[in-house]
Amino acid sequence: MAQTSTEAPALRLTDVSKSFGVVNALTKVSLEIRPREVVGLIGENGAGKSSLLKILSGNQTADSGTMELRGRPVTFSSISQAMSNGVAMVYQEQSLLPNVSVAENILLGNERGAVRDGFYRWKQMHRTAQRHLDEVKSGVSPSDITDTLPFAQRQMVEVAKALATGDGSPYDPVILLDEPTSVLESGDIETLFSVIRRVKEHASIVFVSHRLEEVLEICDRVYVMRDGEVVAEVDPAEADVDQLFRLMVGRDLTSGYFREDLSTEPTPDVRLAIESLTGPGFSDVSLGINRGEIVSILGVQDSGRENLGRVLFGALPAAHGSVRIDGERVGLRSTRDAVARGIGYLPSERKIDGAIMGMSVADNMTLAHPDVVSTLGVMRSRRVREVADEWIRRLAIKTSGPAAEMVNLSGGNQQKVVLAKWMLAPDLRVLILDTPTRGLDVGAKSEVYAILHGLAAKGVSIILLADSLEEGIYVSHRVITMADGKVTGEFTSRPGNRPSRTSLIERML
Amino acid sequence: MPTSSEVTPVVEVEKGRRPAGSTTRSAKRGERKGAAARVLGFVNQKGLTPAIVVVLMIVVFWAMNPSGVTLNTLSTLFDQSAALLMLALAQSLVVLMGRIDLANSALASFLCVLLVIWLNTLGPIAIPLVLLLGVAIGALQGWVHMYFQIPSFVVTLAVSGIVGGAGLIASGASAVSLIQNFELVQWFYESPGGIPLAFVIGAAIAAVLAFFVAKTARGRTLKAIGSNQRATAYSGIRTTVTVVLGFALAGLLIGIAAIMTVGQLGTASSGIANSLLLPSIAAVVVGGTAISGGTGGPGRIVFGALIIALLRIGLDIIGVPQEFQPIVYGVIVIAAIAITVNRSRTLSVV
Amino acid sequence: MDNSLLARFRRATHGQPVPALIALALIVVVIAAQAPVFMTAGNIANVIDQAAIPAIIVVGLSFVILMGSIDLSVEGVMAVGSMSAALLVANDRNSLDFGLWALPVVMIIGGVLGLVSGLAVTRLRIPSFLATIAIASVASGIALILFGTSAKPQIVDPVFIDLTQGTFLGFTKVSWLALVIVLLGLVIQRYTRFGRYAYVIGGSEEIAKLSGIDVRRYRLLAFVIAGMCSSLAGALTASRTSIGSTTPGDGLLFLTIASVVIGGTILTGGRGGVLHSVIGVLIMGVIVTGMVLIGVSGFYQQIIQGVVLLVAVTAVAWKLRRPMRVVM
Repeated sequence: MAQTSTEAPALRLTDVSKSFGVVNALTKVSLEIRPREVVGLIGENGAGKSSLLKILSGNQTADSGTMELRGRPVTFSSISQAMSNGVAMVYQEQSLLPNVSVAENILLGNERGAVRDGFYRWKQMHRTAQRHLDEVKSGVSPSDITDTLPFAQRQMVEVAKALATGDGSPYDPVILLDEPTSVLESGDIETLFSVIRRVKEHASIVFVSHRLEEVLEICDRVYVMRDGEVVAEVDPAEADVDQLFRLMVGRDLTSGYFREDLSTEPTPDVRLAIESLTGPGFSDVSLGINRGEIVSILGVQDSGRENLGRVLFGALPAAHGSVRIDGERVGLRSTRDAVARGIGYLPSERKIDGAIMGMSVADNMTLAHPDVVSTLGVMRSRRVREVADEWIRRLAIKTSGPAAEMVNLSGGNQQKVVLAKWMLAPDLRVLILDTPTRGLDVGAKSEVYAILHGLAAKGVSIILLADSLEEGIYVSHRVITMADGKVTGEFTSRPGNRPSRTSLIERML
Repeated sequence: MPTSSEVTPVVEVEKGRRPAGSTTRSAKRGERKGAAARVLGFVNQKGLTPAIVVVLMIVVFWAMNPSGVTLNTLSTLFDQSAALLMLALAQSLVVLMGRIDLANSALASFLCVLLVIWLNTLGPIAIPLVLLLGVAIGALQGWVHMYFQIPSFVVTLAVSGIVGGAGLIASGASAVSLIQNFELVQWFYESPGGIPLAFVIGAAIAAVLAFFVAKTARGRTLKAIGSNQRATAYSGIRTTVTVVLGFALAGLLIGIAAIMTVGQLGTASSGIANSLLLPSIAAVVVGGTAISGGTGGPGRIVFGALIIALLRIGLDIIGVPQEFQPIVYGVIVIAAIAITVNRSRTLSVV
Repeated sequence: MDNSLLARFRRATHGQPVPALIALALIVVVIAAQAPVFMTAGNIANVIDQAAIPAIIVVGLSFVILMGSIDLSVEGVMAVGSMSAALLVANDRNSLDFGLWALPVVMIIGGVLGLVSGLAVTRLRIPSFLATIAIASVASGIALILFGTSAKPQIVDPVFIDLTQGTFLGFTKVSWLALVIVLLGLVIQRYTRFGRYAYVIGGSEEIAKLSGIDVRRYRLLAFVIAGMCSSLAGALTASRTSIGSTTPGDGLLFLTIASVVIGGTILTGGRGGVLHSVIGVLIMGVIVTGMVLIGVSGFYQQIIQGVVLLVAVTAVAWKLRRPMRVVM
């Protein structure tokens, strides 16, 4: 348990705020990380966890507020500055270089005595690295090339690397672990936890995770974040998963927010029939979706649901299985095949895969279905403008007009343009949406839900890879859960008869 | 994925606007800074800057050496810039897709050699053969680049070596001269009514291409791929097919450039057009096409090519020695890219 | 961990140019079987002599490519190196007589050209293949200016000419010089911050930055070193032909890039190294010499180099292929 001695906290944040343009990523966040404790940090996507980590690790600076390191006010203007003060981050996607040795990775940018006058002293380098590897009880040799190691061992190397940042400072290091368990097997998680417990004897640890049971198990204190604020500080000894979850979600979820009032009953004829479809990261998925039905698929990272969506759209190759729309077989070789059969797809990475920033709103809208605005392959400018104007009006897109460039639109409005790209199709039958509301503000989310209900009412079948449990539960007619590439559960979801969170989470893990 | 969005989420959107076409910005600036700025904003927005630079350059050269600027020299200017214009147009299509073609001029040299040999031996059929070969090699480059996912500069660099070697072999490493069927290619350089035909044809081709890129559904996909290939693919567009088509079209233009060159010189060697690579890239970037792809297009290239050709003649007129020209082109390319490059688009430039 | 003999061998040789060495051995065997004269001492010394100048170039080029950049200015910088060396040593054009001190001066000139390339890449953010093509053009212009209008400058300095003509222990002196530079390159690669960070930056520029490494400084330095190596190679070409030339490096850009790639240094950076590239040079040198011995026309050299470059890059790229990957 955390001690309440007179010792200054390792790190203390007071009223830290950070905003990007109009979006407030962090609002007056105050928290402290004490010596020799594990602090949990939880919150939904977009709650501000990653912004907070970026500020703690020196990747970004706060707009306002103060940060104190062991009682002294500091600002980290760079990652190396944070590191030299003993604050280091272990990244979710791993920050080890695959092509150099373990020792070089552990001491990267932090070689100190191992490099003298620009020249490497390999013996000393290996000795120092070995010391840190021993601390995490790793059997890896410092001279091993990193990409020859299995993932879990690389994770331990990451922790050793974080420990090494404390070398230059007389104080214990602060180690930020960003979802360290998300891709680990249960055995490896236990190993990581025993390392954390040992390391904690002379370090402070911030543990960020979506897995609430683990947070309760390993942490001494837990901060809950929501909408850029710290909303609660919890003692794990007195809390349970459900309680944490309620704190994370917070707002009273009214039916109004998910626009259940617009939901209509699907027609009972099968529009999309997926049969024993197998692709990268998922296998043997069979699923029938009715005309006008919204089916949400829930699953943690690497559950296979993202790749299922991509395979259905022809963006990834299918190993085997078949997909039919209204009885006609869909070719799965290219995205062209999917579009020709009336499938639309909204990718999760809006800025990378969805919007074309350098092009106009009108061009973005009409890119997938140029036939709507062209004759014999020649675009008719006036028709382009009319169609774009119509959809700007129908979806209430805030923009100066069809000629406006995409970059000048807000995230929510960009997402609406990408939606319009599929909605203006002459015959849209199936729409696949990969976390369409991620990164949007609450109002924009609600508008997207309204659009989805409207499409379903017109007979479009919708596959929604939901961003949160609530979204999956309240927007859809049916919820499918996936884990490890397999469908693990199927739940009908109607007002008054919604599946419970616990039953879904059980099937997702 | 450690993507750019990961690191600078919203900031990127803020900075992501392109210098060439940020309509709202230049408009706003115009309102603040009055009429002059508004005119400049309009000029910039419509891509008229290169055209104005052409006129200014003619005026400057005329001022420095009034007797040097005559109808005759201007006519020579147009003649000289015809082949360069074709290569620049070819390059612009490739650059529009965010790619680069370093084999551009080497392929033209190779096709020149083959054209001369085939005109001497096969007769008129040589012309369609050369065009076809240009298309085939262009398409092959595009396919290898897309299918094997090798950077375009590497593929085209290798191809430039291969066609360069093939040209050496075909020509026996010496100049080959056209001894038959000269009339089939020479007519390019006639000037009925004082108008140089070669440049008129070149301008017509440029106009067709400009229409293709700006007004057709297929042409628009070239630009879309150059702006954001993944989003284009996620819109149901076959990106490989489109890129192969773009390279094939570039190959066709390179074939036309070869015909024009042979028509002008009546002879060919394995390195005849090699010096045009950098000028062709210079014409593209000076014409206002961002090297990162997605903006600009053939319409602007005409003036880009004119600027580069004018520069070549203009430097002669004002007496700058020949050997300074490679330096000038090098500096222009770096300066023009440095001005137009979108520094926020990618995390790093290697 | 897998401790079979093969697995242990793989770990021990990780990062070493084993595949390239095996390829070299195989090619030597094949050619020696076709043309027994290949294995004579004289011919081997000749192959190494031919490989010396490209080897010097690839030492510098390797660091640039390890960082994921490319240097296409090799031939242009060599032209400057050749012309400035010819004019600095005793020659029939001027009264300068720097002797062997011309070499460091030439290398400084090449370093400055590399510096300009590096600044264009790191500060102006111009892709390196374009920046270095432009610098190649600028450099060839400078060489043309140095060349002037009269005949090629003839080198009359016997010591300078002896660098490439004279022998020591059976090998030309330039072969020994190349060996020294290659060893120097290996030491830099293994023991200096610059050398190690070349791998780090090529492995992931993002991680390098997250680790507080000043990426731009090291990338700049790589271009400077590459420029120095190329201009030294140009000077040595001048020594070999006894005249300054504006096109001493014709074909060497292909040869060197193909060598680097075939040696196992991948163009996306992070893998390979100086030794890989030098073995690549030897492979290309053996192929060319073998072809001459077997009787293939020299015109085919460039084609073969182009094809080798394409095949080698394809072989590497094949493993990285996946749907929706964008390669410009």
